[in-house]
Amino acid sequence: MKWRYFLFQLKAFLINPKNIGLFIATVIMSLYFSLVSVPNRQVIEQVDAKPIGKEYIDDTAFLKVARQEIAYSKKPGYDYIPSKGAVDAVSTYPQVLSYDKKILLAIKKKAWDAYAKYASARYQYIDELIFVEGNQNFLYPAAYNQNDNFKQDGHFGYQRTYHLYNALLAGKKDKQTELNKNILEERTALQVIQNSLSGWTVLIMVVIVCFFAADIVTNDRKYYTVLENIPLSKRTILWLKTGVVEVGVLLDFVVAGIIALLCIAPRYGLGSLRLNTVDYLGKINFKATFRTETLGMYYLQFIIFAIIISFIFIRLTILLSIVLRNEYVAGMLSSLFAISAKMLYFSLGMGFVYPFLEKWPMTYFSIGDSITGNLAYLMDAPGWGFTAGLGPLICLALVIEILLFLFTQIKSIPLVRRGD
Amino acid sequence: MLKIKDVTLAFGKNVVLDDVNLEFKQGEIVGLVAPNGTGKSTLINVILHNLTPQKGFVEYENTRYQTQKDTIKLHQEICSFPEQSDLFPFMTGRDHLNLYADLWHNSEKPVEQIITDLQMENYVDKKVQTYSLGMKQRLCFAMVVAADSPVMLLDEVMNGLDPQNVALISQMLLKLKDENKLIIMASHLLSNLQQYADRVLFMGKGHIIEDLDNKKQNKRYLKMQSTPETTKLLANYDYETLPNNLILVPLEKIEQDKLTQLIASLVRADIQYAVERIDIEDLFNKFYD
Repeated sequence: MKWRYFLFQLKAFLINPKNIGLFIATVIMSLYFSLVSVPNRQVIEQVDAKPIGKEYIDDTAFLKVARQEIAYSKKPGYDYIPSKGAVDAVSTYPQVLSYDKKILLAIKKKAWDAYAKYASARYQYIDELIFVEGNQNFLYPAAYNQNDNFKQDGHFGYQRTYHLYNALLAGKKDKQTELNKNILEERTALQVIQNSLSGWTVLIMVVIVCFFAADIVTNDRKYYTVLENIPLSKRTILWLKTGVVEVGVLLDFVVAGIIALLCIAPRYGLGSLRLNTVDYLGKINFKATFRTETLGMYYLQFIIFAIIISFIFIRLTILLSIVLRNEYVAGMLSSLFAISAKMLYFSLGMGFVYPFLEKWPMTYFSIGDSITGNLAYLMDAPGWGFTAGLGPLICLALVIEILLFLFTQIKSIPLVRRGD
Repeated sequence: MLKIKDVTLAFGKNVVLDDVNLEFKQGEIVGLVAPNGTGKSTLINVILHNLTPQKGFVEYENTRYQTQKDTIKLHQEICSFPEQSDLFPFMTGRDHLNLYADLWHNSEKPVEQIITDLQMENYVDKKVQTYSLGMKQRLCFAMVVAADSPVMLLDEVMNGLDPQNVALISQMLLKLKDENKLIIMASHLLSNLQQYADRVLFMGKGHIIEDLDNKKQNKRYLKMQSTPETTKLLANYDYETLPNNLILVPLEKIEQDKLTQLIASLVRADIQYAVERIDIEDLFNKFYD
């Protein structure tokens, strides 16, 4: 009985010019992402023999000079205090150069697990020198100097990198997931999509969901007398329409995902859901904590959040379109709600200052940020991840459901009016 | 049985339905007749619960519109004729028929049979946007038939149809009546109602001003055009003149010999006359000056 109605609505949804526009926009964005953005993506910790080799030569030369300077200062009768740079170099460079040598050899032999092992140790060692010991012979890469938070960002970046290398190495050992250069640089399709599914990218996807849902109810006024007295309850109609938007959204994003995979995978490889990745849990007992999980687990968590969040926004937009009787205003208000956290309070340390933000569902709308731990880092608030986000999101969904239930009980509020 | 009990509905000070009481039985075709804006569509909308009366209620088979569940139950029993401008232009006629058949759980009447009966085979699989007005109108009617509900509300079903299609749909209406459907149709096509309706309701000033049993119309009238000569001839007779200058002389009120005299006088004066029952068009002219 409802199947034909569902199909009817789905067909109407799929040939709606606004929705076709959204489909095209998503495809264009996916193509841009895959063909322009990904190839030009800046990998800060590149697996590249050239800069490492150059650094190796420079550091070896500097070490030689530093050793001469120390030797000079030790000559009897000379009252000469060697520079701090020279002292530090003598004590630290041999270790770094030893790592560099092994790393260069690993690259040459394409022994990627050896690379991961020594690069991880190197990043950990240098991070300790810069961040803990304040050694000025080393600096984090300049690419971290983007958010006026150079030292913290660099520290976080190095920690994440060496934890990632350790995780990948553990994965190779446990699950036989072979490593390669693209995997280490997180360039494979599944890795690059993982790293991109956060921030504005996801929020734009949520806005697309809002606009998909905006006229799903109000559009019925075009077919008013055909649908006016059908023997279905308002709630059934809304559930079927929700299903239609869910299918449309799924189709849209699956197509976008397939485009991205087809464009990226031939060039950089597909990657594997069994590959390990890391998510940042925040500072626990003053120690930055990273957890190893598989890409498959990441995507599972992402999909769970995506289903809940898209459901929330479809139902919220439907609710607003019934109450306000205007699809454009409903779409706009839902979209503003979607980006509210990003606009209002996504900034450094806000979680530390306002811990209650953890309970706000808006905190989790950008999905990837919370699942990867970027949110915990940005807000300086441990634990603002998948588990923390489930409660507020489900509560919000329930509130919207209660409101929808109440509004559908009021006879004076029909789903559509002819004159709307 | 469909009951409309003490229904009063007003838009502001304009009382469109004023304490209306009606009962409809299954297996009859009921015509609703009135000039535009007199409450036909309002009455249909009250039956469908699209408009809630300030007083009174609608009841079908002991169920009234009280809860959402009741509304769905009643809408399962009552199907109304959609407007052709509201059809989905990008869907086919068959899509529409299947939709209504599915929504109303029609498993008895195959959609294919309806398509054949209404001679829609040539176009039913094309998109509605390619249809002429008449084709769309036939589709709207076919959708109600596909719903196969016990009560069918048809608002101006014959609009835009050529005589062949009017005849086709009329035949279908008789078939539906034989299937014990209650068909309530608002129409301006009075001759068609005259032919097929069992009962005709004339509406005006919020009331049912005449509830005509169309099948039991035995009264005969002497009909002629009003002229000074005829009025002079009829000076001693009981008659009424309709706004369209038609004079109706009820035969039941004239004695046989007087009638013979009158007819002889009319023949002598060369005045054309007819002996007929009063038809719906005459009544329409009578009620809506």
